[in-house]
Amino acid sequence: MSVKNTGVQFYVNGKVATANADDADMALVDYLHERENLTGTKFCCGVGVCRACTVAVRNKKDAPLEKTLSCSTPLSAINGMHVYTVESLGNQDQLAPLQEAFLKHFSFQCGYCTSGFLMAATALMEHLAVTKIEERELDNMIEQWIGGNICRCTGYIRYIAAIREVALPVVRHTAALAAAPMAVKLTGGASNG
Amino acid sequence: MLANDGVDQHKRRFIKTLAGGSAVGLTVSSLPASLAANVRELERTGASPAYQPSWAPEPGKAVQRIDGLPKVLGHKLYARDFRAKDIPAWPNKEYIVHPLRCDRIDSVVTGYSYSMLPKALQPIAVVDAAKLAADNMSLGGGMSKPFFTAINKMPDYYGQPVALLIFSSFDIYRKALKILQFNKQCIAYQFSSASQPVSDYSPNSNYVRDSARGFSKVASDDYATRYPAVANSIRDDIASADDLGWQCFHQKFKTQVMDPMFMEPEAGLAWYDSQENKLHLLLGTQSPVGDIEGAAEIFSADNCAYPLHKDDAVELISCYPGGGFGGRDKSYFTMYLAMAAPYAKGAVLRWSHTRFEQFQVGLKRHKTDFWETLAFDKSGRMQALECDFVMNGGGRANLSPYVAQLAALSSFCAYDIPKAVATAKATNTKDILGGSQRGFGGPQAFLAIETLIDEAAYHFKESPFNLRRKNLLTSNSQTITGAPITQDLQLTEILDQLESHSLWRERKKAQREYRREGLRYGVGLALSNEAYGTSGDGMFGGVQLNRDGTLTVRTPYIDMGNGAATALGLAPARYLGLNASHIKMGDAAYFDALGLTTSSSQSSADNYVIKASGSASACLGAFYQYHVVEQAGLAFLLEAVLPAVIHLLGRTLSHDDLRWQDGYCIVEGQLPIDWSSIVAVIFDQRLPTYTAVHASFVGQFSLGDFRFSALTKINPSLTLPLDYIAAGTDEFNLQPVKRLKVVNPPSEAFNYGRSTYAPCGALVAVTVNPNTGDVKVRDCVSALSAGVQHCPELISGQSQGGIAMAIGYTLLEDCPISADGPGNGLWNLNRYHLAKMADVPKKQQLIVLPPGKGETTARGIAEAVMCPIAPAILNALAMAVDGHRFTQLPVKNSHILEALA
Repeated sequence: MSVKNTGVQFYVNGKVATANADDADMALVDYLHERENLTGTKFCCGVGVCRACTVAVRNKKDAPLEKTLSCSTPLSAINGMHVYTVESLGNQDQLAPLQEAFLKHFSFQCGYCTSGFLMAATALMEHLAVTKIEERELDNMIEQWIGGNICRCTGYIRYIAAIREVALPVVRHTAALAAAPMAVKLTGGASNG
Repeated sequence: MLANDGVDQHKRRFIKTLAGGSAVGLTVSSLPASLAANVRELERTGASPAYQPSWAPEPGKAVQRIDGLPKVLGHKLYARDFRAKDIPAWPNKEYIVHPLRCDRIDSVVTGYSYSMLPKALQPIAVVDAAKLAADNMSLGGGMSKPFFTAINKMPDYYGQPVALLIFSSFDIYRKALKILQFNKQCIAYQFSSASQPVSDYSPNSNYVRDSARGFSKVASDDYATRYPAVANSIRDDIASADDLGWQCFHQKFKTQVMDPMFMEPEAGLAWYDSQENKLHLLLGTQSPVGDIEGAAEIFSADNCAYPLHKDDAVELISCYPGGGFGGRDKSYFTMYLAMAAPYAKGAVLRWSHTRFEQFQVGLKRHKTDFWETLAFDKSGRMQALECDFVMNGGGRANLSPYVAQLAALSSFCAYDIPKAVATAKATNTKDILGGSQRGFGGPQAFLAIETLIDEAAYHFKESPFNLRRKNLLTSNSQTITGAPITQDLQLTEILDQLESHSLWRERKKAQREYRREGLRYGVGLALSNEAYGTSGDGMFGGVQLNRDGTLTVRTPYIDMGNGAATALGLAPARYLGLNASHIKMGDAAYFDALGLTTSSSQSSADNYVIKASGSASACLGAFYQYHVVEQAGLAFLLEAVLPAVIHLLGRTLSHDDLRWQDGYCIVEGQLPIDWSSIVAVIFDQRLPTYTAVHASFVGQFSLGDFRFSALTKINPSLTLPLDYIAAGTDEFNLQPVKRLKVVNPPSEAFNYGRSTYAPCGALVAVTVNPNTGDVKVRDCVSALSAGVQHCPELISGQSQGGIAMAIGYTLLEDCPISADGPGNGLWNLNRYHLAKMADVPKKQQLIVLPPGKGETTARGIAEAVMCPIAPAILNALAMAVDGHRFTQLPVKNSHILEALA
């Protein structure tokens, strides 16, 4: 999908977004900040290491949710894709389960890395909803999906506890359904349900 | 609600006299409360108890952070989130700056160029040394070296800019950056063989104590003249150790430059309003008041091309920082942002460091070279200590000499040592900039003594627990300055907890098990005794009653993520039975407008206090800042609630007659009084709805006698640990509560250096892969003396974060000061490795000791749990690697393999 064969068209939190050819090399995080005024996605290292800039992306509407580094993803690479940011997860009246859990567990401190953890964990939850794993594998799965995200304040343990709390029922539900798709809405706006 | 409703319109100026003698009006305001606080208090239901905010529905207990909701929702909160259009009354036009920074220090700069930019990407303004000189711009914020490297001069340090290029839009900036970043053609150099002299930043520190002579900084009036001779006699004793029957242990240590690596690279907005001659700033800083004064100094020359209106010169909007760890305390970023503002030609200037820039010029923990000698007698009692710390301060002084000073002050750690000589200094070099960082010198000091004690224990074939027990500070001990120990340090309890822990008791068994897997294993013990607070602290706190019955806490303090906002939000509960629904952090103007003075020439004035409010460091929150907010709650009780209850009941009462239960005020023999009734009377009777208090602490609090009108029939005055109280119905016009007298701490307390401590002990278990040299931290148990816990979850979180940071310090993080280091502008997280999830032990236990006997306050623990981790890892490595003592950080795989070879 393209605009006049030169620009880029994609979706941000369910809404159509377009960028002209001049912006095709713009990093997604810059687009979110400068064009959409969505500053919940954070810039930290800019070279794809810290993962504070993590957003969730579907390659197409019904594709699996994946975590993507918005600081090192140019707009030209997301043509036709569906991008979800922290702003899609919930609002003050209805938080996503992960947001609630992060609050309950005092998971973050300065909070600058929080949206990256939320979006990576959101993608993990959807993966767990369609992928049967043993409960004992969950911590490894969390480390596999979230372990690259850097937090300078917390030491990670409270993030892990919160993610585990939200993930465990998903793991059990998936096991019970034996690969049947999860019917409940897990992740606010990032869900395609 | 949680919309971005712009900045707080309630502003007032305070007048500051700048270094040059001129007085200007300055304003510091916090982000709007709706952005900075949890909004779900709006979900109130039912009667009085529902005045409790949802983040903390029980008095004094938080169920989540007060700042949690906007953080999980991704709302604008950090300076980097804001654009000009977000700020009401600012121009929408926004320009972006990019500096051309020196990546060499061995050469003269012969020129700079941006001619590689096509015409469409050219900057609209260029600022350099010549431009600043022509415009008569001054230095600010304690800068001793110029903003820019001038043409035909050598850079003063890595990363010093040669010029700033200002671009008229983000789009142009973005494209220009692709061309300019890492471009070797931008700055022309000519190598210079000129020597690069190294000098010392003032002051150097020396602490000499000889208990047998009764000599110490506190005890000896002639300290300044006698200390060299006493120091030499102690050195002579150490040199004669054999004759004295002492056994000396000596090591040289080297620790690396460490980046605070807070997650939000420094960023901010600045607007010079040429119509009003006013500078506007928006940024996240740990030192808003110092920063704003420094910013004003830049424009203070009589013939400055960009004058400031003297009554209304600078306004700073203080944002939540995305991490700090000391690296935003007196950061020069603010000075550069302020200096550049006028060159945006009326537009708002945005400056957002890239991470490369942050590594290049952000404040760092210093490269430290230090040595220590520790002498024991035959019974294992420490007899003497000598140590020296040299910290590479880099190209700007910052707080480096004071960081070195605290290393010397911390050299005793948790021990009573009769003779000691501790010296420290920070050097002025061209290397990357040193400054404040979590621990502030303590980590180096504890590393030295705690590894030496372990080495001694090994030599004496004695338990490291027992050797430490023989030497612990007690209530009869003195510190290296001769200051008394006024707290129950709980050191014995800490050691008991750790010694009985299975991680220690079963270490040999675990070692055998890991050996079967081909891994070496060790468990190390270390103590720390990190001070919190400084040599003297002033602090402000305030409580405000809102029309809807909720409370707002006012504080000039900053929450870098340490949870201060949450803890302070709980502080009103003790006296008012109610947590705050809102908190205004960085709210300096509310208090500066009180007009307090620390000038000794006005020591008899009613507004004189001995200590001014300083920068925000994380360790100041739990004890100092909490104290004043809690006391502001008491002041509100005395000035507003008590008169309201007296009005309702029609009888004389003392504040001691009031207590709180389920949101109701309980007075013996009366029906419970609904909070809303009290609120209604307070507003109807125009009783104070704002209080502001100040306290000074130098070894102890200043004690003030105050007259409260509602109490005069019962008690003509009340003595409180405060030296100023004000209250009123108009926050712009608070009136002082009559201070009858104030008793300040004794004069010798000003020589204590430090007097409040949060001791911590740690056991750390590591494995070493002898084939690869990989070190993995497997387990960690910490025992902490934290006093009263305001919020256990915050203490736990701070502890876990401190352990992760210390693992990075010991094993991973390293900024070389050479031309290959971050000074070259090429460093990012692909080179600088810090602890990730896989690097921290998931098995961690924090044992928080119950408060000491009679202890009713919290201790500042933001640095405490981090401090013993590095020496504990080194001691664990000694067990794992055949007794080898590692003395250089970070310990790399190559060091391990070398030791095992």
